[in-house]
Amino acid sequence: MRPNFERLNAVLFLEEPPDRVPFYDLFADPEVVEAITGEHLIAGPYLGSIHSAKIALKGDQKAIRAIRHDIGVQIKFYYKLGYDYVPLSIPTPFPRTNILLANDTAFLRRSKRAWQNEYKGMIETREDFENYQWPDPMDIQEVFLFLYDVAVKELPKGMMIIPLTPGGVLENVMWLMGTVPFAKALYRDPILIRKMFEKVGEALSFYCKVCAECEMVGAMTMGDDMGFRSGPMLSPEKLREYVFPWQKRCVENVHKHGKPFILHSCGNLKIIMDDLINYVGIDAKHSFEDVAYPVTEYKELFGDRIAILGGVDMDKLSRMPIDQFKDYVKGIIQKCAPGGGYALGCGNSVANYIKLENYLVMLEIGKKYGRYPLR
Amino acid sequence: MVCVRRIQGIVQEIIRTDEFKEDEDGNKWYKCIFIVKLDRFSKRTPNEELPARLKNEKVRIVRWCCFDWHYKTGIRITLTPNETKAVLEGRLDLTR
Repeated sequence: MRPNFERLNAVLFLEEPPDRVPFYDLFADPEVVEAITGEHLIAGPYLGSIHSAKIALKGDQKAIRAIRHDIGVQIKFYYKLGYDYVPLSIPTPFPRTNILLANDTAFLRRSKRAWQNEYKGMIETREDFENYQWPDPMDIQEVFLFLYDVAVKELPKGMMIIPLTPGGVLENVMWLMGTVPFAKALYRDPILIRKMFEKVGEALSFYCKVCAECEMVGAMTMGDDMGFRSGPMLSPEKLREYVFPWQKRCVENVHKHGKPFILHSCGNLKIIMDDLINYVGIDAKHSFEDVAYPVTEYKELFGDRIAILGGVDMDKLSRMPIDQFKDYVKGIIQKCAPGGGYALGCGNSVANYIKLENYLVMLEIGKKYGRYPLR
Repeated sequence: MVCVRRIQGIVQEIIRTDEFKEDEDGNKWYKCIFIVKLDRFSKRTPNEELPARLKNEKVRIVRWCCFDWHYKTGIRITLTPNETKAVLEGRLDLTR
C-alpha cells in the first residue's frame, strides 16, 4: 500500500481511515533508523542546539550535506515501514548542561544515555534567568524552514510532514530549572516561574505558528510529559495557571490553519483530560502504558472526543515473546480500531531498547489485520 | 485543504449476506448490510450541524467485512462523501 496521509488525517478527525489502520509514532531513535535503513546518521554534531544549527547553516557545506543526508535517511525509514508522514523537529532552542551521562544498556546501545539532573538547574534564580541566552524567534523560523525545505524536496508522494516541538511547555521549564529547584520556586518565586513559562510558551507557540503555515505540514505534535504512573507531576490548579494557557495558544496557532494538534504526554492524566480536550483543544493523545494508563481504557473513555494514538506497551515491545506479542497487538486493534480514530504505534517512541522483531511484527499485523471493512 | 463533510452514526445491526470476495491473501470478505443510526458530522467539519430531520434516522449501507472486529455493533461509523450526499438528498437505503 502506498503512502496516503489521508489515513492518518481521517483518524485525527475521528473517522475511519480509507483502508487500514495508520501508524503513528512520536519519533524513532537514531539507532533504530540506522538498523532499519542500513545507513549512518551523521548530522548529530551540527544539531546540538538552535544556535549551533544556525551557525552550521550559514555556509558550512559539510554540515548542510550532512543534514540533507540525515533527513533523506529519516524519510526512507518512515516510507519503508508504511508510515504516511515523517516527523520533523528543530534542535532545542533551550540548550542546557544540567544533564547526567550513563552507560546505555539498550539492545541497540549508544555510547552514553543522557538523563536529566533533577537537582540542578540552568536557571534557578532571576539572575540566571536574565543571563540565559534565550532564543531569537527568527532563528527558530530560519532553522525550521531550512529543514522543512530539505524534507519537502525528498518527500514521497502521499506523505506529509508532522513537526514535533522541541520539548513541551512544562518539559522545557522543568528541564531548564531541574525538578527540585522548579518545585521550590513554584512556592518561593512565582514571578520567576511565570517568566519562565512566558519565555518557553512564546517560543513554542511561535514555532507552532511557523510550522502550521507550511503547506506540506499535515498536523503538529507537541511532546510535553506531564505525569507519572498515578497522576500529573503538578496539581491541576498549577497546570491550569501556568501550562495549559500556553499549550492552548500552541493549539490555536495550528487550528487557525485547519490542522490537527497531537499531544504526546506521558503519565496518567485522567484527571486533567477534560482540561486538555475542552480548554487546550487537543485533537489526539499519544503515550500510554499498560500498567497505569492503558490505551484501551483511554480509547473507551475519550475515544469519541479525541483520536487515540499508539499505545503498544513499551515493556511488551521490549520483552514479550513474539507469539504472545502478536496476540497482544491483535487485541489492541480489536478494541481500538473499530469506528476509527485510532492509529497503531509504540506506547512511547521507537526506542533503541525495544526488540526490532516485535516492532516490525506490530507493523505487519497493522497492515494485514488492521484493514477496515471495504466500502 | 478541502473539507468534504461526512455524516457519522452508531452501528445498530450488521446483517451478513452469503456474498463474498477473496483478497490476495485468501481472506473472505462478506457483503454486510449495516444499519446505522445517524447522529453528527465528523470532526472534519466541526461547525456543521446534522439537519434535525436526519438526527437518529436509520440508514442502510453496505460494507464488506472480514475480521472479527469488523462485526462490532454499538461503535461509530463514518459514511463516505457519496453516502453522505445521498443521505442529505433523502435516500436512507443505500444498499441498492
